[in-house]
Amino acid sequence: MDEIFTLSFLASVLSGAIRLGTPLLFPTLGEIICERGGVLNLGIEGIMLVGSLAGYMAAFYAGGDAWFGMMVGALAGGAFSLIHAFLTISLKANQVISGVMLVLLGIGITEFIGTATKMSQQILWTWKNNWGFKNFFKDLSIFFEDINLIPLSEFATWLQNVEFFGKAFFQHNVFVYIGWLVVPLVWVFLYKTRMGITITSVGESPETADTLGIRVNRIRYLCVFLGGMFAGLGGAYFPLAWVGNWQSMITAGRGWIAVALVIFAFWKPQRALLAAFLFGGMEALQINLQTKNVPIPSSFMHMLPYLSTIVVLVFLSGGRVLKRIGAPSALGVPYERGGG
Amino acid sequence: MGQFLSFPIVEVGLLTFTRHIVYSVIIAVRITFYLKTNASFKMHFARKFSKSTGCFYNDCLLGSPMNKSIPLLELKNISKQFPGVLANDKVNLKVSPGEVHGLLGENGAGKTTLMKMLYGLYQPTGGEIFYKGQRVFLNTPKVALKLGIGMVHQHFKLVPTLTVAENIILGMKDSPNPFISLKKAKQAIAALGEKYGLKVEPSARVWTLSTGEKQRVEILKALYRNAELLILDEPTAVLTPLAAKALFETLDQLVKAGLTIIFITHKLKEIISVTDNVTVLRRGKVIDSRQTKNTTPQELAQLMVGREVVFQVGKEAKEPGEPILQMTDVEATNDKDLLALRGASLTIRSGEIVGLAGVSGNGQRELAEVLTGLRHANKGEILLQGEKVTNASVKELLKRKVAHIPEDRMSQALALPLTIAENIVLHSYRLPEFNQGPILDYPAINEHTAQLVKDFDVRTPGIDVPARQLSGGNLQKVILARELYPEPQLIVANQPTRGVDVGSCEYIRTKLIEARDRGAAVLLISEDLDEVLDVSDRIMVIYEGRLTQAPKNADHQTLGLMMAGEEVKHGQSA
Repeated sequence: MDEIFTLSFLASVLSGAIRLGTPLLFPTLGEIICERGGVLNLGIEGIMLVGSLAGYMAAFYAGGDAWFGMMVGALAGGAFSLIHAFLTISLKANQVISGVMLVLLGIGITEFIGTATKMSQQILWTWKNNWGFKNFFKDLSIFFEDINLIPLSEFATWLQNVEFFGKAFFQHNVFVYIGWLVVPLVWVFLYKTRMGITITSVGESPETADTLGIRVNRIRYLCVFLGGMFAGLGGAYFPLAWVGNWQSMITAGRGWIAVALVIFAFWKPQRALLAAFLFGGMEALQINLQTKNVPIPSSFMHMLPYLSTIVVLVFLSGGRVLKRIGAPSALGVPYERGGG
Repeated sequence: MGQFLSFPIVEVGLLTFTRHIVYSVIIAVRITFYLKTNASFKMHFARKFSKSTGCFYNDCLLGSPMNKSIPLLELKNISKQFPGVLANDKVNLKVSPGEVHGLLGENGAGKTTLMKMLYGLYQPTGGEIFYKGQRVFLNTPKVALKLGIGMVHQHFKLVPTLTVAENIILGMKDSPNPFISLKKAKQAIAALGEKYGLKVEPSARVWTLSTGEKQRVEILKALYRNAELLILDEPTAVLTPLAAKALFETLDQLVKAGLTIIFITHKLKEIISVTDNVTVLRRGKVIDSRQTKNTTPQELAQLMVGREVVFQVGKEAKEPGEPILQMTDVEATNDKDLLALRGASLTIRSGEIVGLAGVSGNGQRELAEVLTGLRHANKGEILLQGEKVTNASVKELLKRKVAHIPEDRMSQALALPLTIAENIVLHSYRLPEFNQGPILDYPAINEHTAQLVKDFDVRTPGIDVPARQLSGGNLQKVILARELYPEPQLIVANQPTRGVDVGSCEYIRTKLIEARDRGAAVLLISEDLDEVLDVSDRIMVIYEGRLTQAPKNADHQTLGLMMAGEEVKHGQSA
């Protein structure tokens, strides 16, 4: 037990918090943009899965270039979320149902494509070893081998060797630091740009936006697409910056945590950073405790974000309070010009 | 071997599959954008049309000088057909530059629809719009704004969480810089505010503003976009008399500065005092258009409702009977947990209408809610026919036949997405006549509704349309019809005629008097002193949560003083 109260244990928990918090941070930011535009997207989990597989496959075909994979993962996430946009914005379908459908579809698609390729790889392996034709499917045969991960940061290498702080904060891959940069960028985007206040107006009062010549549905499509891109990035983080390989259900329910974190973050990007690292930290703590033989079931830790969201909602219950902490007024309501 | 072959087939199949999906999405999107409205077709033709005249779309009109000899705006045979309702029927309207043009009509006469077409929110189903002598196609508000048409909506179109300045620049693309700079907006707000008496704090969040201030922001929004034609949709409906006066002064200055104003209202006094010309709409048609100085309120009222309006509702004197409601020393708090009723006492007898006058926010709403079981009374006692009903549940009070006409008809009185029939039985669906065992008896409900719709002259395309499709006056009639069935003992009517046109207003008052003649006790809460004086048998004044009896022959002045909290000597009081 004594090992737990050491500086090195704390450092590894902090380091884990940051490593595990980053794939929560991106989808949370995406969902914040999406919800501030008035569209509830519960499909984050599905979008992340699609992003992870697309990112991984792209990185693989590009010869192990993880950066290319990240880009494709984001685009695939954005494109996949357009299904949700089309259903809820153009066809005015129920956003909750559409979102849940998106999760199931995402799981299905990635399982299907991922497993099919995996199966064919087994076949290829058998073929190669039993009947020859070596190098025939050479490219494909390495499909499920690891790709090059996003590299560790080379920024201020001297900091990495600093006692405690180095291990906790500066020995991460580059993508983690991109996440730190993206938070203020999203903040500036939402609060200080023309597009940002347009998004807010569309989420708060779409009628107002409409009377000022803003194309409400177009802006909402954009919000959903941006949200999908962030979720796709979050998904692509798993195979490309963390695991190095793709497996089914690689996101392990983190998309749902991201949806809960939006409420925890009061729809504010700066709080999303805090929330993501807090919950990343809980997971890291659980992993680290297990290595020190303190058994806390991982399912308990997985429950925590939801439990704390419920606690937050209990304390801040009531529509008026939700409004005060920043819930967009028109969240979940499709826009239609009234009267006819 | 089947497995060996399967892989390439899976891959090829996927590619084809994907390609098909992409194609069908592209086709679907194109079809949706083309067929969404017939307006897009019109826009298509408009583009072609304007090209042939050497002028791209509406752009040729931008910045063209005002010509005094041609009307600024001309509507020719504009019609608007909603499913089941013809909202506007061949409307013709001419507005000359620099005038204040009044648009007068009852609720549901089609004023707002007409103006929404002018602002590009609706597309007319027939007719032509000319602006500065050129035909224009207003398919989105963007086009209207570009042409210099600004609109102040009845329900303000503001984003409450943004600041005043952000609201004003919202949606404007005046510079390529993606970042907002509020400096220019703030200067303009200050300058315009100075010039026209429209003072607001530019960095205040809109939700902190008063109603009057919000309206000023709306006007500033239009002015900031260089509006030449300003449409005001019932601007005084939400204002206090003082704020309305300030608004009229602002309008004066705007006209002096060269703006043209269309002023929509159903208040005759305002038409007379503000406008130069007035057009009267009734049931979607233009009845007449004339100069304001050549007309009288009586004449306008007749044009508006189509018959002589009795401004004074006739009623016979009646001796009140047994006390129905006895309320003593009731205290209650408002939504902000501040004391709103401070020892209010009130007795209403059978066959008596008690009018409650007062400036809004003095506890009227809380009083109505305490009496109808919607608000908890912290102290005091309420007796209904001698039985204690303090803090009884709404269901219990409904059983005792307490009717409530709430102040806010949209959110408190009606379920807007439900049909008229469902709204009509919203409080009485438990009665045996509307049930067959555990199942609602819809034929009976529909029959009942049809009867009430006919009795109360509710103008609706049908009893199975959602309530939200009806205009304010008709909704109020629906509420009244519901609350007067089955015959109530106590009616708490909070602002029953607010925002309702003259015709419906008279009707609602008559119905209340009828209920009183049947022996009901009526509490009429109203800010309209004429109404209180006309309808009530006895007048109480509410001020800061306390009720005072007004003298029997009280006039406007006495009541006004009492409403302001002045002690009035009860010289010949009852």
